[in-house]
Amino acid sequence: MNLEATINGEELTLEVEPGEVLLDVLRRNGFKSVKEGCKTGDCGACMVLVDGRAMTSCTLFAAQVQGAEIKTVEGLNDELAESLRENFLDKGAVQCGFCIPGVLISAYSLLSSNADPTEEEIKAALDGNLCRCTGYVKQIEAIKETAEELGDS
Amino acid sequence: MLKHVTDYHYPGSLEEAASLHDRESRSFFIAGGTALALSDSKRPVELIDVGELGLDELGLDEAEGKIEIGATTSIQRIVEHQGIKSVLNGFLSESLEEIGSYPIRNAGTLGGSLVRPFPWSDVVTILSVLDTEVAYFHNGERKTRDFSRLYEDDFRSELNESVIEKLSIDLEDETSAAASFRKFNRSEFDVAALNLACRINHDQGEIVEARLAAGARPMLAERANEVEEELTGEKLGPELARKAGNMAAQVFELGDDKKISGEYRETLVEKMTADAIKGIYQEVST
Amino acid sequence: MVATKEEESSFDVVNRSLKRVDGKALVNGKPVFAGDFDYQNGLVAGLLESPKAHAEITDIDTSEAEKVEGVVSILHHGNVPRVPHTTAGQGYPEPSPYDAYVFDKKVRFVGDRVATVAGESKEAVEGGLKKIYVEYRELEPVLDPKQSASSEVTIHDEEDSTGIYDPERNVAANVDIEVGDPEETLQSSDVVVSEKCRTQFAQHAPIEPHVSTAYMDENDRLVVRTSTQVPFHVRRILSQILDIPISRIRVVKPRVGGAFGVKQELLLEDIVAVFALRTGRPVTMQYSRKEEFVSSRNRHPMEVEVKLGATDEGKLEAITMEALSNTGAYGAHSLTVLSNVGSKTLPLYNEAPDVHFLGNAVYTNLPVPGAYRGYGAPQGYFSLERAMDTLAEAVGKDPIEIRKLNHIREGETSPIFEKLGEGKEGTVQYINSCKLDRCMDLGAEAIDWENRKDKEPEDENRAKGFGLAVNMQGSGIPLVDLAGARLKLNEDGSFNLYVGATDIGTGSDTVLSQMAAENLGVELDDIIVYSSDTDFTPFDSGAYASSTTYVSGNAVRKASDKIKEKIIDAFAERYEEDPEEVSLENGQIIGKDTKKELAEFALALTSGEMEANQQQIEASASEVPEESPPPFAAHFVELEVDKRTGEIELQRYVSAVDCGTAINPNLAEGQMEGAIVNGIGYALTEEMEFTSDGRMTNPSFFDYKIPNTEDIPDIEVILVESSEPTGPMGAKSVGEIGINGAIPAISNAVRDAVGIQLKNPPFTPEKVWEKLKD
Repeated sequence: MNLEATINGEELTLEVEPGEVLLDVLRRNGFKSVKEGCKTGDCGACMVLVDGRAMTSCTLFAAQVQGAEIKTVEGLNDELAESLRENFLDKGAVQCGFCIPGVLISAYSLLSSNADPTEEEIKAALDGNLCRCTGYVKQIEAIKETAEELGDS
Repeated sequence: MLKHVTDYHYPGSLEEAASLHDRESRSFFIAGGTALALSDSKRPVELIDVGELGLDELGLDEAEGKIEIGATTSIQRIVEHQGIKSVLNGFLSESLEEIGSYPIRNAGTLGGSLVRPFPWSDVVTILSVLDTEVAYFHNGERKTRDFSRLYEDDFRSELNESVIEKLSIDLEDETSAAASFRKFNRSEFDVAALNLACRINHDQGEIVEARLAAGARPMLAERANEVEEELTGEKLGPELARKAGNMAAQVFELGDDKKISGEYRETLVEKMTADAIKGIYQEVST
Repeated sequence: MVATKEEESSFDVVNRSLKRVDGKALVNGKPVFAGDFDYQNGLVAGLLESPKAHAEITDIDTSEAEKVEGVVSILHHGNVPRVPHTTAGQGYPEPSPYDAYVFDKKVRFVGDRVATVAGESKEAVEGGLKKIYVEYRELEPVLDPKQSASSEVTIHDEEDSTGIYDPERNVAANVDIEVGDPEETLQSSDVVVSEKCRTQFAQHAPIEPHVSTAYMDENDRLVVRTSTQVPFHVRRILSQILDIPISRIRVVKPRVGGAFGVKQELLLEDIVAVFALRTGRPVTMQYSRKEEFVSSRNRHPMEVEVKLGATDEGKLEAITMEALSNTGAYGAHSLTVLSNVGSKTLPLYNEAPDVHFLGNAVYTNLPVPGAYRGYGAPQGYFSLERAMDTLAEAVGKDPIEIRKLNHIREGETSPIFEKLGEGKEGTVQYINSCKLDRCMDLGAEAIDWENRKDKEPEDENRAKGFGLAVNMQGSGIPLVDLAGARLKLNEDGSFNLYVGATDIGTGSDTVLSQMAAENLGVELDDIIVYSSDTDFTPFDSGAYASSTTYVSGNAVRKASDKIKEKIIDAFAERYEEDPEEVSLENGQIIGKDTKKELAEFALALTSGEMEANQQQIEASASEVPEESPPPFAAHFVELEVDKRTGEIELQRYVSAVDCGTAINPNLAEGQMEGAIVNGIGYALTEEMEFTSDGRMTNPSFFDYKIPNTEDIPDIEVILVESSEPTGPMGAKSVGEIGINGAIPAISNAVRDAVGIQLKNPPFTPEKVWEKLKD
């Protein structure tokens, strides 16, 4: 069947099986930032934005996002995304980097709707992103930094 | 994830969705899909997408004292709704926020949580203590039913074959009600190994009506009618909380599963009930 | 937070939290991990795992599977040569038994290899796997390590395996080291305390599972691109088992999505290599999360008993440590992890002259433990640090005081260094840098240890507790590890830095570049690092044993010293200066009379201006360490216990660590923070669970719980800098030490809070509650 969706701003028509999950379809079509870590919706490495909402693409059938707007990390290029990237690097919040696209999606999603989150709110927005390298400490710091920076401007 | 999906349908209306479902082939309705994601089934199945039927209206009518939640509203949208945040001092939004994780709450829908609910379902426990009505489309008809009758077999089997349209939560007497939700799990991103919800309607601290539900027992949520009766007419206080805890631990049917033992569940129920009622008492006293 | 050394830091590039050099690709989600590459004409492969814990394969029939559309090749014991080897990524000759085969006629755990299928698609592979017909003759499994040695069943009864200590008794490895006569001293000590603790099966759970690809290049050489910690060991072992010269194999490490020891192993590379050789096509194999849990590697569960004999004052006189390690179905890392239980712990308390370490690693028919951050130290420190607190209580001293009274200091040594190495004798070593006292003091201050008795939770149902655990680790393996580095000067004054050293997310590419830049007087951006490619980079043992900063770093330091010398010599000759008076600073070459931008001179060196004197300036160096200077850390925990339910709430975790110079403080802190959180999971929630048939029941994140953002307490890491004279720019290491603290510190804190003894992690609420009931 055909999946018609806007991915990172581009209207695409992709050939998909009814039972294929979005993760596989995205990776097959070159969106390699979307990672496979567990395929059960537990690790968050496959997270994408679907109509602005952060979701695990391994628990979505590709067919479910018919007509939707999908964003992956490759398509996040505004001031918020750049600030997050910069601060993640500055604060040492990136180690192996495998969880990072998913974390950036969650962080982007959080700050898009809540410009001044508390630490609790940041932790809640990242509660579906497992990281084994960083212990989360610097990821939370980086998000706080971005919130502060953008809040001042 | 379901391993063998043979067809994916996009019905244009509820009626079309229902008639697609009524055919010979095995089919499930899908909204957020998070419940289906936990299945490993290899049996062929067709999916009928009900996510675009406009069943995601979310509103709080303060005058009427009613919350209307479309069945395909995501859990996270309900959590973030400004009006709902102040209902029952945040009970509904805070308790729903305990579910799963941020991405799961973004995809998972309230309706989806009610069809073939998992025994650890937080949603069922939470709604059990609220005056909730479920509106659903079944056999060509629109029906509504009181959520508390979910346990009746015919309601459950009807729901399995229906498209859930919306839930209505009645908040009459809101000003003299308080509620609390507790969840015990092995780590913070985990299904419940025990969950508990309590709602008290009171008149200046004297309990007019009490509702107490516990789920993941490991079984699905049930109400503790005996405890509720015992609480009615009593004055809220720490001593009552303690007594209620003791009683709840005896009244609820609790068992073992691979997460924790039934005996430990008793201890948890005791503490969680006492804490919930004590918390309500403290909230009411201020 | 960095508590600097007494002298002011005079570094320009080193000791600064510069952005990692490979970060941009990662935050942009570029396809840089092994599973991100698409190969033309590529195949995928999948595994048929054993459903039995212990059985002989009496028949494999693949005829039906071969007919499945899309199936291209099938491997099993009948069509792959049998070469005994170890899968452990260790220096040759490896100190692990050669008891593994690409495919064996026997299966030894549920999840063991039976066959693999390569096909055009995942569906084809799955279809093929389903149609492989296997007959098993079941054998009795051994699942209890305490029964292994006495069991009638022999797990490794094959004739061609070697290096097993006592195969008939299922003992893979044995270590017995004694100094003095501790048993006798214990008889006469004023105080004797003992602690027997066990640790559980736990898995590394890197977010990226194992993934490897092999293909034949245009010159028919085998290329393996794999998520690994040990590219050079992988190349050598492949050569050994495929019987192909090393020169015909190239191994490349791309970005690795976490490893922590689980990728210090040959795991999928042999399978994809054989497929590539046979089909002539690129073949990729990636583990599912379930396979990652069951069929990769995990942490050796152990039971360790420590006895301490001390004076009334708390001065240690004797230590005995006895360890029983469960090494699962194969012996990779069995001897060395076992040795480290003692070698990384006992020297810490060198006050005791009489020491005995006795350890046995036994086989069981369970998923295979291997290398995991800490490598035996976490298991050893659990019992040791509990015993130290028990001793403190027995003699009425503060836990900090007891450590201060007994720990090793600068200028001192321990006989254990010499007697206990990595599976053989070690090397004599003196401590050159140790700020452990300062670590304890700063950590204590940060957590307000002094006033801990005054802190009571408001809720009467809760009790507060504080706990301490102190440890050391190592920095590389003396006389065993080898690291090489090469630098090449470019015409614009930049340098290519080639290192075999393996960045597995740790940031070693960055750290090593910082060292080179520092020494050469240039900026980090002027160093272009390329690592872990066996065709282009010098040898490196790999990322394990906390060796990269110290050992690979020294190779970089030496190589940069050499190239600096060559640049200076060329400059001195050109401008008639005395080399002694020329230096490299701030991107310039500064002599007595002449000063040039390095870029300018570099361009001149490879241009016609120099005529016959043109040259490509390059230098390389090797490093084999003679010692392994330990980092030291003090871990402090503040927690509350709900007395009704046993729930533990971790509130604060403070860790003060002396890692020598922190080459990149952010990255060093990051190592500690990650290790601490991993340790917290190990202490509170993580356990691999099995049926009585040896099948793992929780091989998913749904049921194997690792910490998320809401599971972590307030974490503070204090880098207490020292200067290690043998280390590059004074550095030691920091990769592993952070994981040793959580279990003992939490166990000690719970003892402080509610007086119960937790000796069986994970310390789940129900377990704590059971103890509280008694």
